[in-house]
Amino acid sequence: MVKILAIESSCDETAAAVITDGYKLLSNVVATQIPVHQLYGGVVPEIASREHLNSVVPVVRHALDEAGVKLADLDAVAVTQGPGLIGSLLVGVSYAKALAFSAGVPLIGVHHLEGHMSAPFLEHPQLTYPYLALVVSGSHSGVAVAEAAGRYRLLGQSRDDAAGEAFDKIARALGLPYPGGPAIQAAAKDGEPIYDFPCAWLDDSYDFSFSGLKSAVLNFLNKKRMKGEDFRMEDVAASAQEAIIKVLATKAVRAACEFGQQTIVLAGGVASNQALRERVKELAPEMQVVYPSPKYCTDNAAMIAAAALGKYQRGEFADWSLNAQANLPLYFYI
Amino acid sequence: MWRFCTYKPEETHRFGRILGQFAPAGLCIALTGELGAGKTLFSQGMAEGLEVEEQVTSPTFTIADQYFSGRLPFVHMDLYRLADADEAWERGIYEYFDGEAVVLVEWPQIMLDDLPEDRLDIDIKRRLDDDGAEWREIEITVHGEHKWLEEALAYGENLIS
Repeated sequence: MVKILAIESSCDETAAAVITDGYKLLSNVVATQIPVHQLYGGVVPEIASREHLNSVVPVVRHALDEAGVKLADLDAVAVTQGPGLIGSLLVGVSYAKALAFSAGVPLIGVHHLEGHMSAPFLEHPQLTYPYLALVVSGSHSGVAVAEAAGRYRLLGQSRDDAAGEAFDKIARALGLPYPGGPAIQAAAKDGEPIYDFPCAWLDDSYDFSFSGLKSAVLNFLNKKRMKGEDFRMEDVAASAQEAIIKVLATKAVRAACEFGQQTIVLAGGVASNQALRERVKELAPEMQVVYPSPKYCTDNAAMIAAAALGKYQRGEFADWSLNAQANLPLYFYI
Repeated sequence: MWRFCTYKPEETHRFGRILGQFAPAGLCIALTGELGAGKTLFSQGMAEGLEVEEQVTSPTFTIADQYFSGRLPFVHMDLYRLADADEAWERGIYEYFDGEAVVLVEWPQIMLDDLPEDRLDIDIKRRLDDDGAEWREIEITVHGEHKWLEEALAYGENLIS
């Protein structure tokens, strides 16, 4: 049985997971989920707990313990190489390299988005390539054709604010809590999409732009408040959500049709949005629509492990010169 | 202090582009303005002026994005999600100011005192006419000597109203 340890530290979360054949997870640990006393043995550090440098060692140790695996049992160590914040990435990459080197096992570099696109395999191991992937999170909006394992053709991506970011910023303007996605979804259930906020279709492109929508909602709120006109926050939430998911769902389905795909995979934090899931199914009733559980939608190491499993099987290993890359492009083959 | 008005999103973009065209190595700009004021447009314009080839997207989630394809390295930061200067330090934010890269800092309030003393503070204000028409007031406060700025503004004179 192959055993791979995966480490993810591209942004806020320090996470580690151990995976084995058949996409079977032996452990899946995110720093913020571990009780602080467990993580630091009763000593709460002065520095913020999400600080990767403090978290990476205990998180990895926790993941190995939970999996009942020793360093010597591992067959490979995988790590998110990018994209992300360089300082955060470097913590994971440096630690993964050191671990792999000391354990005498190969190192695997994984693209963060490849991780998101591989997440569905954790719960749907029978999923087969090719498929159309819509990756939507706080930092990314993108449409890609996953042609085969490790072969992605990026069709379009965010030109400014990512979809999750639009949810966050609009939620803030509406006085709703962070993260904005779940808050807007909840508020939207009590509202009607009666306001026609602009959707940026960007012609035939598969790119996304949500900065204009954010500004339109803010202008709307400003004007309403200046004129002293009443409005229901829930209606604004429903209308903003509608403007976001309409574009995401329409482009994903259009891309699936244009590129002859039968399966649409929704990944990333925004894939947890129910309205988005329902809209995609509605627009593509004949297609298979697959999405991971919420815990595999937000940043986690299990998805990095899932992608790494495929790379291990294909023998795609990194050498010791592997470096963190903040703007790592998604390699694609046409 | 300099004051300008822009009446269309494209004008805010163009304003950024002109500054990007003339920006010297090591320039730091602290960019403020409420959500939706046009900071993204300004930043994208600036990147274009610096001849950055990639699509410049919002750095809110990643906090700092680096672009190396232009005539100077360009660092686009957004400190919106950081609590204070300590957290900026923990995240390695100070290491981006290397005297070579042009660093544009959105939501710089948490570490204004720690930014290079020699810099531009640019504030974009959303203005609303009585008839509901929107425009932007852009205010530049100059810290230190920035001769290039006069050149840039003279060049942009016929472009910016």
